[in-house]
Amino acid sequence: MTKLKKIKSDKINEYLFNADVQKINKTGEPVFIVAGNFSSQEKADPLLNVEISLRKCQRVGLFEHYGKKT
Amino acid sequence: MDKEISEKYKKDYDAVLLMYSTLKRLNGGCVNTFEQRLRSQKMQYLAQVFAISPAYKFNLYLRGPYSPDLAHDLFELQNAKINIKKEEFTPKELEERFIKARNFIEDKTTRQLELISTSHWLSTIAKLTKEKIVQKLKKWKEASDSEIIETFNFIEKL
Repeated sequence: MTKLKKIKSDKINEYLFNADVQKINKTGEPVFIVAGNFSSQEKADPLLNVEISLRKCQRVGLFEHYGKKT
Repeated sequence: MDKEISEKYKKDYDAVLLMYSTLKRLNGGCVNTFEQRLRSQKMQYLAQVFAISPAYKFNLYLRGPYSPDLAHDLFELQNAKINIKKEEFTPKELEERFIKARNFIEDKTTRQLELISTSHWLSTIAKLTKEKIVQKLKKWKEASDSEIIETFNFIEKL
């Protein structure tokens, strides 16, 4: 993964039912994080980043903890 | 992805394709005529308000919010003869937002979209009061009282 971004705190199975989801057990609230380089997508909605990643068949991951480099 | 293709566009190519797919699903995205270009600009502005399309930077022009970068990318897409697939969004929440946006946009005239997007820009970006916005709409758009009332009623639904 090149860069990670928080996207949502729940309902991952509902949103990402056909995605390659990885759950990493750490402490904290479950959040969505999606892989990809979003540097030039100014102010893009996080779910749009998910959509772009899914269309590119990129891996989309669920992490229970964020705020640290993973 | 081909670097040469990517460099033709103002945003990431994948974001450009998502924008184009969204506009096509809203029956927009064409740039052959002034009317089509105007309508596509207002559709994209409102699609961003509904958070269903990647963000382009808009400034206020004579005919309301306008993004030169969006215009550039739409012309590039047309020149490249991109045949975009009209795919539904995978996250359900996004698709629900799209349906709301489509319901809002599809039955509006281009004039209505222009007044709505202009008022929204003046309110959210320029932070003008309702009274000031009414003045601007009357001065710049020669909007009638009934059009202004209708516009504010529409904006309440955003």
